Amino acid sequence: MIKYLSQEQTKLIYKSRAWLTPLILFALIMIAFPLSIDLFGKQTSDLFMIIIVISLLLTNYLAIDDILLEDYEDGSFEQFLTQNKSLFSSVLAKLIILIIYKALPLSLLTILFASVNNVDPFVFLDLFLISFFCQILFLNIFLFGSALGINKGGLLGLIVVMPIVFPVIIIFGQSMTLLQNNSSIDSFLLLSLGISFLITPMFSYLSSLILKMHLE
Amino acid sequence: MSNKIINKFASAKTYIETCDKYFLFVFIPSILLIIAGWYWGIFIAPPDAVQGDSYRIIYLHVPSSIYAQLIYWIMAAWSAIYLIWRVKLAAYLTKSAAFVGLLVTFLALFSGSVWGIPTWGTWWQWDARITSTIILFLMYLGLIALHDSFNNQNKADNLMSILTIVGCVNLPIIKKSVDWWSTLHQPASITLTDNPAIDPAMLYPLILCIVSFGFVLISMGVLVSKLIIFNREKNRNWVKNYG
Repeated sequence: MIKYLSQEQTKLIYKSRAWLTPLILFALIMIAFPLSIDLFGKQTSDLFMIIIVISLLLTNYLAIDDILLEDYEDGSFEQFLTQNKSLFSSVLAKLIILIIYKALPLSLLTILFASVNNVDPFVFLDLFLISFFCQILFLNIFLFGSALGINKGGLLGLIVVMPIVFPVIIIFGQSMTLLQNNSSIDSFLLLSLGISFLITPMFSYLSSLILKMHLE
Repeated sequence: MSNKIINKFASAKTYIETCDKYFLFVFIPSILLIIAGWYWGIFIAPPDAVQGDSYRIIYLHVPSSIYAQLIYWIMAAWSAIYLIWRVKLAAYLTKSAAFVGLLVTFLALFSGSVWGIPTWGTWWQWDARITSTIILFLMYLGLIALHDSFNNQNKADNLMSILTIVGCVNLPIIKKSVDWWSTLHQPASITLTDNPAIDPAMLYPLILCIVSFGFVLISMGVLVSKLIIFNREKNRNWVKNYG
């Protein structure tokens, strides 16, 4: 079931080129921020770590904005319910595709921009992993928000889940500070990995439950 | 037998009748006690050796900070009751508590800012405790916004209950923020496990303020919940015949 849905979703996301928008926005922020400081200064490597948290937060919000809306409006979810298919599998598949098509390339882009901003190559692997795990958390939370405010516009979803995003920002921000000082972030990596595994099925289930409530 | 008891106490009608019966017995003493507590704290308790008289704002700040977090836990419990047993009264109480929680969190933030001017030299600092409290304020605001954005009240109750329980993830962060981060905000002076780090002459009026403020908030919550219940159950016969 998930495999079938994933194939469908992959086709859809690939055809619509929707996966490109967050990547382009992220690249735009990453190219623009050194221009606004000092092009040849050393500041860019320090500020990169700060700007990365906010830019990934924004791009992930943009990535999830209409993920459920299209299927909700064109009646796909309703059809799922009437055919007694699992809404949970559909939402989980959407989330997994999103992680593969948006979070993974964004983490790779993070490394690319880290290298052009004179960040120490020693921290690249940690940077990749922490940005990937934190993006999974962001996507889960924004998916939940998107489900909550599905017929009320994206802003409501954002407002209601913003407080839940803050713990992730704390983890991500603390990791960035530690990486800046060349310290180990193993504990944060394990923590974010563990939470990612826990909340991906949990938030997919909650989101599908909420969608069901909206449809009933 | 137990179902009968639950059904009796889960009824909005019984709740309103019970509240009407005992409201004044709670409200009037709580107002008198909070006035007494504030009078004791402001005019009788000795000034602080370092902060002078400016510390007296604790008689408003500490109770409001305690209840800002406690109300959210209570809301989470009611949300769980609503989602598990489908007790409508629990959903009404969750929403009324959100309004009281919003007000109390605002009071905590406002009184903290006023206290910050003489002690820290600034009314606002991006300190872990203050930032996490503003997140709590946003959580209350978000819950009210979510509930008010739906015309279907049952759907709104369900969504609000789910979000309330998920939002609990922030509460340990708020509580532990002063221990986990190096902050301007002092650690808790009164805990359940250790002896209080505050002189008894200042502590007793504070305890009186905390207890009586709790009863004032209960009274406030009862009034808000009555408004919500009358609005939601306006087509029921018992509401039409009320009073």
